Amino acid sequence: MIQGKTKDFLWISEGVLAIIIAVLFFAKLPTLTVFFTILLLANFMLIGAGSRADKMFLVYPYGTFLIIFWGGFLGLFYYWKLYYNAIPKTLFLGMHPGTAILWIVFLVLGGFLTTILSYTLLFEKNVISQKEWEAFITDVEDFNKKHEQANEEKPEEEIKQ
Amino acid sequence: MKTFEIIVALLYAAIILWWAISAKRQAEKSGSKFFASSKTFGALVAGLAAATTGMSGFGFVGGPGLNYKFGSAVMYMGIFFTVSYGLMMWLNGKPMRMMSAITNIETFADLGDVRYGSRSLRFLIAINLIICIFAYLGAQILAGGYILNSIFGISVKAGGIALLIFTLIYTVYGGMVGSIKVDFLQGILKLFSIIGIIIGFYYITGGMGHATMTIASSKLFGPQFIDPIGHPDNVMLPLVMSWVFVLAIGVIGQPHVNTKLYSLKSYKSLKTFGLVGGLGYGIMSLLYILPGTAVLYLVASGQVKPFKVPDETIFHFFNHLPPVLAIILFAGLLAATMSTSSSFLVIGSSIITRDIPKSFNKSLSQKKEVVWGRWALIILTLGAAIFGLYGGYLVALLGVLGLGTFIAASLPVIIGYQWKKASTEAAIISEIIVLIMSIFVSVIYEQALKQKMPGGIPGYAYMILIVF
Repeated sequence: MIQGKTKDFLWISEGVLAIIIAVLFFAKLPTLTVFFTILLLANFMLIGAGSRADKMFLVYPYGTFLIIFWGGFLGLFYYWKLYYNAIPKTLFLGMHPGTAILWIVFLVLGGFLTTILSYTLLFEKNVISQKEWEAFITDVEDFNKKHEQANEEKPEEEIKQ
Repeated sequence: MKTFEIIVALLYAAIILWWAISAKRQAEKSGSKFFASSKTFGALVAGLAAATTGMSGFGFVGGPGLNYKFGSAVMYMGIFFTVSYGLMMWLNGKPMRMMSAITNIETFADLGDVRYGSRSLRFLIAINLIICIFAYLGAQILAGGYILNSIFGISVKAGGIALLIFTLIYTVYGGMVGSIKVDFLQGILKLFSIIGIIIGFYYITGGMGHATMTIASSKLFGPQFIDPIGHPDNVMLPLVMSWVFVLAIGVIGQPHVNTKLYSLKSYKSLKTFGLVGGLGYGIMSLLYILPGTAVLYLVASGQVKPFKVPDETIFHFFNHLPPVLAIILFAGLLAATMSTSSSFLVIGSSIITRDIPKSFNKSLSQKKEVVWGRWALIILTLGAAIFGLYGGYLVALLGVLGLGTFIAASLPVIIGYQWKKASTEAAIISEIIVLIMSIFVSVIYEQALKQKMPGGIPGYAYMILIVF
């Protein structure tokens, strides 16, 4: 799914996103940068899965990652402004609700259950299967054999000459 | 208490030495075993070693210190660095393991050379990385010194050098094989010490809610110390937003974490390597919340007087713990400092022995690489020790180089093996930009002249954005 021109487009869009982020920081609009940052980071997963990314991959982990982090930051900014310079009326897990979002939404949901666990769960389907690995190793061995043969033949040719 | 601490520290040193020396025969087989422990370990050992190496002495000492100085906003560091373990697997896992199956890959510069076929690029990557490694080791002398100073009462400098020399001894014997084996052992110890930190936190504060309300109501700190960003007009807002970007890329560009991918015996280990590394680091990231919050609580409630050096935070935490818990944490702290230093020593020696000579078309046999690698380790340690001892102001100046420079220097290689159209010229220009910006922006403009980049974010964040 992600190959050829689609991959070119993704890498170019990563560059464009980096420019947008830098300009927003420069323009002193730091809270806006984070929404572009999340997209730039999610694209890493899409690029990594490459040709093995399918429609389901766009739902989990790619889409899930975007929703969790975009939604999480909206919630974080909401609670930050709500209790700005005041003691929060309600705590979550004993923390400021915005700080709790960092741990529960970003670390547990977005980090462990989406970005990290998805690699383990989707390894055979979206990373590499045993069949593909074996084919790759066979190709490498064939290449090495040909390379060794070519090296062995060289001195003989030189002797003949 | 003091005698007990010393006995535990010596016993711990003896176990590490024995464990690392047991790796000697395996490490001596070839340069690729010594420098990268190629195809040697399973996911559990390599993954936990990757987590341990990621959580350095900085995490143990600097993390709680920054929490004391800036409040909750510092928690982004541990959280987004954990996310980066997953992103590293998606982006680097398969290509790096495949590359090591095709050819003899040991370093990031090897990858750059194989992908782009440019010795100039290999040289530039090597130079960028070795400057960071040297700066990092110089800073580690001070971090290690603080720890031994608090256990044995020796001077900070003597303590730092003693710890670095001890790390050198076990690294010389075992190379990366020994380093990973010791990292695994230290990872288990660190996880135990996190349990100690959780117990200690509740022992000191009586619970998170109680600590939060005490800190927020205190005149010394106030509500901005418990919220996720702090005041919008202070330095934290742009800084934490740049951390989301820089730290979520985090380990993707960290050579000391990525080299563990070469060490996987089977490609199948990739499946759980990131899970072990990410979970391990995620648990360790509690360091960014618990000790610092406990000490903020102690100061807010008047049990400890406010102090000026934030790096003392972890030691104030220890001082309020029962002795048995404090011992476990001291051992964890020693582990944190040594594990990252040992990985950097091996990577530094592989740059000196392999990357720089290869840039000039000179290469050694695998056996000779091991012999010269050991000499390079000794020279590197001596150089870092002299730099740490007599570098003075320069140590603090170069100490700023590290995470950001590592990421920026590694990015052209990562982009290269994921995208066929990435050109050699672009990669070389990127490495030159990294070299120039590291010295002129991060060290001279920001650190020496105390100037700030526009937008209030660190120069290394712009450096990474420019490399993209």
